[in-house]
Amino acid sequence: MLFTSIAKLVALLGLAAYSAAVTDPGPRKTSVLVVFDPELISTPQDLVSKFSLDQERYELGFLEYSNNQILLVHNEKPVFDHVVYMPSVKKSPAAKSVTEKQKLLEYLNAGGNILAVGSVENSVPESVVKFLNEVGIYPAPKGHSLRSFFDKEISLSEENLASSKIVSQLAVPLYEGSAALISNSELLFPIVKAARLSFSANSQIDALTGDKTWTNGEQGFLAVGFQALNNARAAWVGSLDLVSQELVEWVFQEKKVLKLQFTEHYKRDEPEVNDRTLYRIKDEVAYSVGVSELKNDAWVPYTPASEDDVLQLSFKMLDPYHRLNLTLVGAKASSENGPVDTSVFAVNFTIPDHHGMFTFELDYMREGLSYLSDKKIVAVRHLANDEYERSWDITNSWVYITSAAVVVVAWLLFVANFLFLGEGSVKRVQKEKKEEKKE
Amino acid sequence: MTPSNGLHVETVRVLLRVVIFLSIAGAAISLRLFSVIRFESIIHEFDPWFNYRATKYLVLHSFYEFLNWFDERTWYPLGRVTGGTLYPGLMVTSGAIWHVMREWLRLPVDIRNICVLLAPAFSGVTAVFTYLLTKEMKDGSAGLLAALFMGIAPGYISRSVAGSYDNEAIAITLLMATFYLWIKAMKVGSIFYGALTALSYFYMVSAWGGYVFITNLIPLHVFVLLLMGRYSPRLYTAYTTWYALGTLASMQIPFVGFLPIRSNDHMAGLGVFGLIQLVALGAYVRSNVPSAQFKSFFAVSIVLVVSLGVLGLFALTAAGWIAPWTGRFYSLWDTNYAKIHIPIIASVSEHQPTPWPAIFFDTNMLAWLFPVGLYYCFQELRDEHLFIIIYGLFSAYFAGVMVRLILTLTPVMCVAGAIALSKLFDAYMDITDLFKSSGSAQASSAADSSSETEKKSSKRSSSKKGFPLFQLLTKAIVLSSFVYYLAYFVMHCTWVTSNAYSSPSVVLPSRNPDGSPAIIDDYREAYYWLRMNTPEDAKVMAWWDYGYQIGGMADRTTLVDNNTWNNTHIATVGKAMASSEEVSYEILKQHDVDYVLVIFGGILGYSGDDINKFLWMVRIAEGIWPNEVRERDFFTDKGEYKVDSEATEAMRNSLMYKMSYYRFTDMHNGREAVDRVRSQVIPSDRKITLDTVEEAYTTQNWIVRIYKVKDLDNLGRDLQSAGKSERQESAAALGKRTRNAKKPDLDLRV
Repeated sequence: MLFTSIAKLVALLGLAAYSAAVTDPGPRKTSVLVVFDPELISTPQDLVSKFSLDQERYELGFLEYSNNQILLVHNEKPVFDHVVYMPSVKKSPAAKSVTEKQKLLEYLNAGGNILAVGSVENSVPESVVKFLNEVGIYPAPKGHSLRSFFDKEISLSEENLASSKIVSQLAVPLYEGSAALISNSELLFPIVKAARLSFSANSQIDALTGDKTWTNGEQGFLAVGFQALNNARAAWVGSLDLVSQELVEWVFQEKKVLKLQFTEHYKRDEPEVNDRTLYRIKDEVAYSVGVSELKNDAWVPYTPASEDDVLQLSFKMLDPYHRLNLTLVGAKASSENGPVDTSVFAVNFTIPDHHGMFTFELDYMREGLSYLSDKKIVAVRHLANDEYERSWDITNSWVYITSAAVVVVAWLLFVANFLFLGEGSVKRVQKEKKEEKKE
Repeated sequence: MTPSNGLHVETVRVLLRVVIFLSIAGAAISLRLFSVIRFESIIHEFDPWFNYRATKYLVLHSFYEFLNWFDERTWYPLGRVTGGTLYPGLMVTSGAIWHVMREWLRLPVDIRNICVLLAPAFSGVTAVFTYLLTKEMKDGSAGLLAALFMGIAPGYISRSVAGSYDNEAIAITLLMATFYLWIKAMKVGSIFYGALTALSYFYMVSAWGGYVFITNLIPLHVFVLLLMGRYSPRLYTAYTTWYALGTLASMQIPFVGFLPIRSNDHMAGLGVFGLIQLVALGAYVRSNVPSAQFKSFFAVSIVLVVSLGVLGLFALTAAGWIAPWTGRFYSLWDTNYAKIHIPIIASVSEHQPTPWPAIFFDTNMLAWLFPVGLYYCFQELRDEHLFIIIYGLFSAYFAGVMVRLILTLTPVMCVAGAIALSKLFDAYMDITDLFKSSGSAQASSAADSSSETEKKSSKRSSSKKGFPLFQLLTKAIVLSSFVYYLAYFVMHCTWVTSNAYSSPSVVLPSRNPDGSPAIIDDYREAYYWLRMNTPEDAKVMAWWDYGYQIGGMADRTTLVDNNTWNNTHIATVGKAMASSEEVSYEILKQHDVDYVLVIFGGILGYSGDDINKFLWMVRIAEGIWPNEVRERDFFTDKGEYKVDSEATEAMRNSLMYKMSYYRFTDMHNGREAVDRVRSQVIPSDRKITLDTVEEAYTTQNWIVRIYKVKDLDNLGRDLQSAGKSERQESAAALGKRTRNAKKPDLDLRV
């Protein structure tokens, strides 16, 4: 009970201090809940410097695993922006409301970010591990550590970075921590991988067999990031040593965050009609998107880091008929009189000669970056009855037009001839008949 | 016909005729109003819903917009060039009536009511044209009988009750009009009537795909006449005028386009057109050349023409210039063709062969009067009788092949039946000769063309003098029996119409336990739910039968509908229904499906539900993906179609089965439940779980069930494993703890 009230008090005090101190409405402070086990961490305030959690920027709350009184999600909105899970001695601690798998899923689906920190002796509670399993991260069980027969002491350097998109530098002289297996989910971003000759196994066991090791070589991962489809982020690290400022910023959505400001498409000869729902086959179309990136709490124009990160547009109906790279054409302000904060990417193309319901699809999923996706469905109609070329504009048809005209003229001539001229002309016959009668 | 004091006999006759016509039209129209009185002013069945929707589009937009209409709300995502793939005659007709009513007569009438009442109104006109046609065959009294028959024959009523807003509603009228004008043109040999025939033919082409029947029947008539050596300049004038004008006119309908000169179905008309030119040439040559030379000329030219024609046809077909015969055409000749090759045609119940009772049901006594009428036509065998014979024979054959073609058989049955009956009445109603002396009797009956009657009456009158009791008695017996038949015919027609053809099939009639009438309105309940509760651009997947209704009543985008123009797309929907959830989810996502709608009759015993149609979905899907969907997998080892505990694995895993029986046993408190359509027990121990779709709405009697397609899993799992883990979780909450310190079985991370 005591711990509960302390935790609440801390949170409340933090809030009060914040509202009292800050009068200038700067960037909103984000709230962080750190769940810890007091048996392992006696002074949780130490974590603040370790995580470089600046009190100026974050509203901090500390919660012990024995406290079951805090809700993660209220009214389908996350109560805290971020939650950090520290290792726990107990496998299933009392704080069910913040550790149950279902609660964590709910929290992530509501948009909250999660950082789980593992260690050799004590891992995060079992239900949090179950949540990680759903995501596709399978941390080694309690007691398994990363070991190697070749190096007594495992050190990590930049060679161990699986990718430098999220974390760019790494220097851990002595790694003592856990490793995890991960699934092939495309939403997982491996950050740090184990060395080729390492493995993870229970440190008590010396006689190793294949089924007693958890990870082998580079299939073991020491830090893994995850970004759900709603752009909520999560990460698991095998040891507190791997928690770096870069990683925390990524998990807490402070960097590599993109925002789709607008998408628009229009006919090139009628740029004033935006986002029309009906096009015609072979129309010339322009498509553009505006993307901003969050840097130092401000939206700035986004520039793709490399060729691979270029944005693409699919113009598809069941299958893509076009898949085009968008080119950066400049920057502009997303709102009137606002700062220039948006990069504009655009492409021009011709609608294929095929009618149907087409989708302008922007699907931008790059490692570490927020996902951008946008679908706009338009109808592409066929040519109307008066939109075809006129017959006389087609040179091939001249033959037929001429022959039709000749037939008409010839028929008229024939009729004239039959009626008025020639041998069997009607007039003459009639005259002859009359004459015969007279006779 | 001597002028009497006050009134001419002729005037009385005209007056009587008008009165009779008015009462026939009244009977025809009122008989068709059962559906409106029993239910309400509502559009029926399936196709009429599309016609109604198209008509609404026409009256809200201009004609050219209608002509160029690209419909983005059907056949998602292919869309349909609706303006170019429909027969606009029906919509334009009711659109014109609507405009006339509103702008000229200032009657603010709802377009729906025009659509509902169009078919009954046109049935009155059909009676008039039937009268005119039959009058050309025999005389006015036969015409009146034929008009009466046409007005009330159930074979025609089945397609023209109020609310049955289908192409056939006006097409039969136009069919009779075209035939009448053709007979007239052929008899008179006038360009004027030929042009009128072409005009009426054009209207027919614009209204119904069945115009091909005319396109083949008239040339056939001409061909037979030519073979019989009955060529005349009148025939030449009538045919060439009709063919040239009619073909050019029909090509103005976008849906028909160049078919008249490229499709095999239309080649007969072109061939006969060529032939009649040759015959005309032959006739000209014959009149100018001695007969011996003409014979050799004739022989050489026949051989030349036939061989050239056959070769040309083969060459053009092989080169792809002439489109091959369509599937519906083949199924006309070989009733098994469709079943083997085109399941989508065979799946429609009205494309099935006709059973005998159906013919009697739809035509009653006309079924046996029809051959008698043909016999009389053979007896006289003028050119126009030949037409009735050919028409009768062909439509009788086609009606035997496809149930729906009873519709084209009915008019000729009415005409032939009326001819037979009026012959009989001519003979038996005429009692004047019995009371006259033999000499005058002979004189009066000489006017009658029938020689049989003449002989009989002369014999009778010569043999007996005095009061002819027996003759009168025989006549009275024959007449009264026929009056009985006629009365029975009227009763039968009324009964059939009120019981079989007046249900809108959107609303189902039923009875409460206490016997009072009730209405099952699940369809509209579901469609209205869709209309009010889903986003306007939601895509609804359902079997194609319901496409038009969803478009018309729920106003939502559909994937497939009753305009079955793309077999592959329909097979895709069939595959999604027949496959397991993971396979179908991919299809659903690829097609942006938001809702899936199934029809389930198991609670109510409504036999027209999707599980009963399911085999057709499987067959059609198998036609495109023979390796992924197999019909055999849906039958048990004994070859039975089962949905109970013996149901095959493919059956139980199919999306259709799951969606139909999802929570079915819950309705019976988790006990075993009986499917009342198939009389099979659905086991309660195998719980049906749905991971990729969730139940959104089920109507009162469970006839329509709507499911919402779930979004992709936020964590990137596939929905089955997400659902499974959720179920495990809830099982664990019940006390079964699962420990998973086991190493997971994962693929290498690459």
